[in-house]
Amino acid sequence: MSFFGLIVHNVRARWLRSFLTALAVAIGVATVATLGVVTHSLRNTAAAVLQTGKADFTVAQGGVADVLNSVIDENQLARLRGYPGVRSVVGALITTTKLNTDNPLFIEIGIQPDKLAPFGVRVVDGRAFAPRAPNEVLLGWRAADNLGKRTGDTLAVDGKNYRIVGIFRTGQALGDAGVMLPLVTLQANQRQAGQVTLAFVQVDQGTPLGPLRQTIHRQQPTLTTVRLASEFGRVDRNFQLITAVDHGATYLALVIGAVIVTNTMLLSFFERTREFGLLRAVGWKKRRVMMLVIGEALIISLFGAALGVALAFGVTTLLEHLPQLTGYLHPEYEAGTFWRALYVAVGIGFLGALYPALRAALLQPLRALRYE
Amino acid sequence: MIDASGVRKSFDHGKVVALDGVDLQVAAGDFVAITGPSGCGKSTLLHLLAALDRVDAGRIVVDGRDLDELHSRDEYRRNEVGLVFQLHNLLAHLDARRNVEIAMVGTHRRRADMQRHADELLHDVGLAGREHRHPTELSGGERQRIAIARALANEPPLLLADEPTGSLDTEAVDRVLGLFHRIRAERRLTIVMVTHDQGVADHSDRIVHMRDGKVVDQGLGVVQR
Repeated sequence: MSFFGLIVHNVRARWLRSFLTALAVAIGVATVATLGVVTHSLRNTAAAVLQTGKADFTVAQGGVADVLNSVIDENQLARLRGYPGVRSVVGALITTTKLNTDNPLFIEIGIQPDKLAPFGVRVVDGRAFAPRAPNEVLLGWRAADNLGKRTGDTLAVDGKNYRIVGIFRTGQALGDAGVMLPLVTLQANQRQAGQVTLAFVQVDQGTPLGPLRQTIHRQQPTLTTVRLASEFGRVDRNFQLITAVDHGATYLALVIGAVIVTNTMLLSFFERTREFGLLRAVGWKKRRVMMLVIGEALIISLFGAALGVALAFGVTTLLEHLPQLTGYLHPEYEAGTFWRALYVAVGIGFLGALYPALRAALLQPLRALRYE
Repeated sequence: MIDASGVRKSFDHGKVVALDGVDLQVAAGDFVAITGPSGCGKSTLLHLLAALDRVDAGRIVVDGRDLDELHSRDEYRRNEVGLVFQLHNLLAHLDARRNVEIAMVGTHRRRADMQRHADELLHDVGLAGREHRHPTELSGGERQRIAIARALANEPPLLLADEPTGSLDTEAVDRVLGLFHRIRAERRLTIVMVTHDQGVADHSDRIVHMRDGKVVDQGLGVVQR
């Protein structure tokens, strides 16, 4: 019997206790993995707004709490268009409104009709709105689906009736679940004349993006540029907050899991005091007794990790099908999330077993053998 | 083999004196029984010989080594002594073979070698064919024989037994004592056995009597087999 074989045997011999402990670890791991997957997916969905229109990068006001609070004025847009290598800059005003109780965050995008194609918008039914039409809108295909609307129907937004002149598709969930209308109309409605929320920048082929973005940051310090979903936090403090909560939940899961494992291993320690005493009496070193206890906890934790990952898959699938999240949550299972879950499981096992292992190792063999 | 001189041991901050200047010499290959009334200190002496506890005063030398100056008491317990307890202290979730192997975990032996050696030992103590039985499936005598096999696992020169027959019926007692004699002869073992039972003690070569923490009779020349 090898030492590892003994560890596995001990875990199996007390299978119910091992399973319940693994379940506690699994809940911690599932929490971490689910939050990781959800945060990552929501970030990608939200960041997709910034990546609409096949832009090489997007410009927003830096440091705002919510990306939709970003304000870029006409002068700034003009300066962006003037940088060498910039082919086009499309400004879009983006806002949300409560359409009804089922659609509390309905997206409105104001854009000039001639910029629809460069913005990545494909009109799949009807036609585009006129540049200054006060009551014409294009409806995203997801919104049309959800609301049961078609081209030619009327849509009431913020107390105003609009005629749906066409249906559009952008290929990203948030945009397709909203409405588009002429930029000047939305600017007038929002009392934001001459302002946009985001600027989508396309560059000439061969133009290096890094130096251009650095120039913009240096010359227009109130603006920031975003190219990747991972940079989304630069323009959206809320997202930084969500990410912080995600990390906080990881630590919390680690602590709670470790406490549960400590509790279980301590109970096991009291039950097995004579066993540890015997092992010490027949010549086992303190270090080996410690390794036995920690090894058992790690095996249980790894089993818990596998269980937790399966649980996370189940929960995220369930969340994906919640009506409130339909279209927004597209679970993306990136390796980093599962590595973090694995670290959490190993951390829970190690931290949870450390104190019981120390106690087991430091037992006086004689006292332990007399333990009742 | 064993040279203990002036050994003192007390508990409860000196209030309970368990050993009060014990002298004991045991030659290699001897089978010595230590006997005396309950509380006379015989088990305490055995625990000191096993390096499970430390002397307050005096010294114990085993095979030329002072137990208070051992580099590793764990290694001494693993390699130099085999321990047999009254309640055999087998691990209930392990079968007979694994209960023997447990003493070899962490030694240089490979897994297959451990298994073969454990099976040989179980065969030697008359438990061939019971390798996969768990302690709860065996009689008291059989359990004690597993404990003896475990004590012999690392081939120690000294076997220390604390009331090894205390919980056994007469037939099992005879088998265990017979086993002690056989393994002593086969393995050139030195055996020190603590017992309160005079009939059991009579099976040894020499009987050491203790009373109130002192050796009152070294038993030299009393019984020689």
